[in-house]
Amino acid sequence: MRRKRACNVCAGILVALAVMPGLVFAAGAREPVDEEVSVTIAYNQYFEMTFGPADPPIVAIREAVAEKYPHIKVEFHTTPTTADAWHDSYVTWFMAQDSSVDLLGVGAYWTAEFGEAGWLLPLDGKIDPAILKQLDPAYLDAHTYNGQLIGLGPWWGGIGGLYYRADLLEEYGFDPPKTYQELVDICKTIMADNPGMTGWTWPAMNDMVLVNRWVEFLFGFGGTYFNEDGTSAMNSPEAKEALSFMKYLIDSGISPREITTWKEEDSFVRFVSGDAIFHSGRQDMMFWLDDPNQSRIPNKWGFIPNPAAPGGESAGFYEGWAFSVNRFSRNQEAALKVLEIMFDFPVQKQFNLSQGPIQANMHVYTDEEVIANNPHIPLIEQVAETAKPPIPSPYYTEMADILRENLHAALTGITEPNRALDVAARRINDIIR
Amino acid sequence: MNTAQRMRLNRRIDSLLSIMVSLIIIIFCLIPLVWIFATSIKPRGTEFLLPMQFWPSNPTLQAYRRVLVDLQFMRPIMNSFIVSSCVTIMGLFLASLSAYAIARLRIRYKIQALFLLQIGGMIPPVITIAPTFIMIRSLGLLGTLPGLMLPHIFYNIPISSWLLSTYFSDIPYSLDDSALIDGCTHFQTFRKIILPLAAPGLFCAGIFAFIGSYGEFMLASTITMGQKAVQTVPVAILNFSVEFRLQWTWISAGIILAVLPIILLVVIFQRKVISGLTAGAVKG
Amino acid sequence: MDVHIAIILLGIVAVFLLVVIVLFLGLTMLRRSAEITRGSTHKAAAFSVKAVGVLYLISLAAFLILPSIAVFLAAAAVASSIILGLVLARPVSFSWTEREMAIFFLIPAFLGMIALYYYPITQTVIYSLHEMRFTADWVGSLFIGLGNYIRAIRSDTFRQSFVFTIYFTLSTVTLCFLIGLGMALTTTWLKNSIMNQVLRTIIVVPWSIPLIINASMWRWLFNSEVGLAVLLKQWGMIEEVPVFLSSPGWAIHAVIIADAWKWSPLVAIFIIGALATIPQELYESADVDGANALTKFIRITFPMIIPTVIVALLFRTMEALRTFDLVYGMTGGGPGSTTETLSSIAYKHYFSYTNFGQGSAFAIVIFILIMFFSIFFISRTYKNFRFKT
Repeated sequence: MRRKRACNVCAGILVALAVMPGLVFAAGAREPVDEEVSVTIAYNQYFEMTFGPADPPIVAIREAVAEKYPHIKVEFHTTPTTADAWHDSYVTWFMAQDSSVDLLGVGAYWTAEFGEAGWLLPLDGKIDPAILKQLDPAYLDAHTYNGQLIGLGPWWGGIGGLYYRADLLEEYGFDPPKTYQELVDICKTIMADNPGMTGWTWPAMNDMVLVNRWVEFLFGFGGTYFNEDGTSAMNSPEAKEALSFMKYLIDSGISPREITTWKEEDSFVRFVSGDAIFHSGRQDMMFWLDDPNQSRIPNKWGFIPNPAAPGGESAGFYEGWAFSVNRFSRNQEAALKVLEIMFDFPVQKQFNLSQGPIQANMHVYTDEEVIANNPHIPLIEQVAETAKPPIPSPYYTEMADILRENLHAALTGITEPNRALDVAARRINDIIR
Repeated sequence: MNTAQRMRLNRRIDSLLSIMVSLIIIIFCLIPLVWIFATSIKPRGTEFLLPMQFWPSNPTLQAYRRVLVDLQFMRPIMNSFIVSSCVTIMGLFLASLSAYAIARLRIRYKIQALFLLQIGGMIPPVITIAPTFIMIRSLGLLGTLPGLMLPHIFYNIPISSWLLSTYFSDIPYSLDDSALIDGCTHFQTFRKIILPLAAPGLFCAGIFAFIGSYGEFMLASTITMGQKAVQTVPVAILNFSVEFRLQWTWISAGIILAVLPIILLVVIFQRKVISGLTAGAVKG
Repeated sequence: MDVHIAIILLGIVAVFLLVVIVLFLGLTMLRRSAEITRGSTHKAAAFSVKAVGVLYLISLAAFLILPSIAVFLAAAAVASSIILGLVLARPVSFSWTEREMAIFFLIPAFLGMIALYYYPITQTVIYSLHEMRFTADWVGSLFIGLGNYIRAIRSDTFRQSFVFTIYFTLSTVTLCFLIGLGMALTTTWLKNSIMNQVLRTIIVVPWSIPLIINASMWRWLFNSEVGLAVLLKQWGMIEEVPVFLSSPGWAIHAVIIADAWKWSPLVAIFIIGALATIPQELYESADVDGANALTKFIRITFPMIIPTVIVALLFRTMEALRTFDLVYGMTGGGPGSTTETLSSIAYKHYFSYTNFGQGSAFAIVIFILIMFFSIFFISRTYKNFRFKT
């Protein structure tokens, strides 16, 4: 009896030991048999959608790659939709040195952080010069860290500008505003006649969007990100003036109090439904405006660079999405090939037709089909000249959090604007040190 | 008015009052769900119309069709159910083994062992995410349901082993002794005698484990790597409310669908939970 | 399911079982050798038994700190203890004693605990002592002692979130207690049996709802444009609709209400369980003495349920101290950073700021806070255990 059980135990262990190598072998045996390689692209769900007369981006890439490199198979990995969650999942993957994704969509805000961490493959000398010289160097700057190009972009980019109601301004005999004072005057005049009308909507939720809009006000009042000695310039007199003005907009009712709970879409809805005179936002929203099903103001609007105070510069926040190669990828060669195809003219044109501007490849804007499809390209180009990249710091996410907390606190009246900026500057300086 | 009448009147007032108070409690418990349900049957877009209606005048199931058919919401529900049921069974098995050893076998350091198991319950989930992610990645199970099940099994052990060990300790010890005399091994005693007797406690611990696993969010959102095919309910709902920020009829329909199965389950087993806890597990 | 996932799973189960069996054999052999050497005068044997025991501890420590070297140490420990057993505890018997079975039963759960809890917590302690930015590898990072803790204590974020976490915990635990007690007492007060069953059934509903879904629900309920309060205003019940989630005072309490809604049923369930164990004779004798309802509650009910209440509230406290999901889904920490909990800023430092060192320091602070309460918790429940000794 006893002996029998002992035998059973021993036999069990032996079987387990014998099975183990088999399992390891079986797990290892699923390496590709032929020379086929697969390149996985990570981007959010918009990569599988189209908003224009072309295939979704991922389809366009697959077709182009299949034509040129039949042995490369393009896979797609959907990331979270919001930038915050998206960033956090990248950090988790990189920390684990994960290689399951080869090409990653990387926002301009993360360039410095990922560059500093060394998680993205430097692209200098690895991209075909014939393709590189088609790309707009001004945009590539936003995807360069410490002199190293670590991403090609944008495959799609957003620029902030000012939407206005052309019909209303004309009715009251105003020109599109160039300064904040003009804008305030216009709002006051028109709102006095139309009690239900909102003056100027901009998203001011406790979110990245608030920081994006803040950048425009900051430069609009002549501020900047950093002082010459490298410390934060968020408590400069210009910055304080900018935030006081933002607070004034809310206090005076020109911007409704609810904007502090609004994201881009929420604040845009009010403009689309014809209930607001001005709206600050990205250029991609304009495609709603001409859609008579969704918009009450088709052809009654305009899009211009953001206003500025005297001494400030008109600025539009640039949020471009580049593509970079994962440092830990096992198929870097193939990933680079796919990257080249993505930024070559034919695919870039498809991107433009399906998702709208902005693309890095300059040939896109001279293409007749693109121009025919999008009559507003001149408007966008004029706004794009005011592009301001995000704060170029490896600690961007933390700085943006500090800023949005303090800005939101000031706008909702928890703290006084000047104090909020002093706190923000002090905390940002703590991080830099 | 004589005393009997007054007593009857008192009793009637008493029962009326108690019914009113319980109605208030019922309203308190259900109002958020009812509100969400009312939103989910409003026609798309009317949830933002002013003046508001509590109950829509023209209810519609459009949102449900959209959520179930177009957005395939059954999938996360199925995923969650698969994960939670496997986790509950496996977790209960492991937890009851250790609880049995702690409660009913003659060993030293019982309370220390139980405390060591409880430490898991004190750890903020934030810190287990990164190591667990790396572990699951090295096992090659990222973006799969088993990759989520493995950690979940052990996530439930602290609470299950605590509930079960107190429960086990309430069963008379003479049962084991007579079983051992009859020639049962310890495992047989555990399986054939203790487990059936502890069924209410197992139910109770099982419901705790199921709810815990069904609602776990942080790890689920990391391990599923954003893949729609393996999303669980909490992850799906969060993505939903981000993707369709302003489509509250859809989000509400999603929420109702997501909570309906778990509510049904808890409602069905409600008596077992209470009786499981009554039997000593939570006496201080 | 994929075939290769099934293979991996089979492999994991096989390895897990193998490790369980090997460890079991090793530990059993060690135990037996220890028992044999305890009485004997053979010093070398006693010494080697102790040495092997220490080897086990070292390999556990190695696993927690640097798992890559632990495998060899553990293998050495197991092998040497089996050899010891073969040498000392002859003839090798395969009928296990009660204590040996207990080891066998405990190993699987503890293996999981070690991998999923003890390992992360040890690593977190180590991380928190290093300057770790943009890396998860502490071996190559700078050791800065308590630097991260000092930085944490000095920062506004920490102070604010610490105060909020404590305030949140105190308020939600108190609310849960009051509401839960009210619910539980109503179930015993209500004599109508159908209503009673309905009430008991409905009470558990909020408890079952996942926190992140709870957060979405309440976000919609507290919507300041079309939320429930707007309806109340329409019905003339309130004057003005507060901007719930973007004014600090309201947001804090909105989160607390949402949390209490979800958890007070659990406290109620606990108390219902305790109420059922109160012997009816106590009430009957009180009735004979002519005590009124309040006296009965103060004299009989409350003293009888207080131990359970304390357990339930400690349990709630431990949960509330690490609240993350609710805040993440409901306010995202806003407005400003007023509803940021310790867990949510720890999460931010980990995954948003890529600062594992700082994030770990925050996490350890939460862990210590919870530890503090859980010692009370365990010692409260301890005397209730009637374990076989």
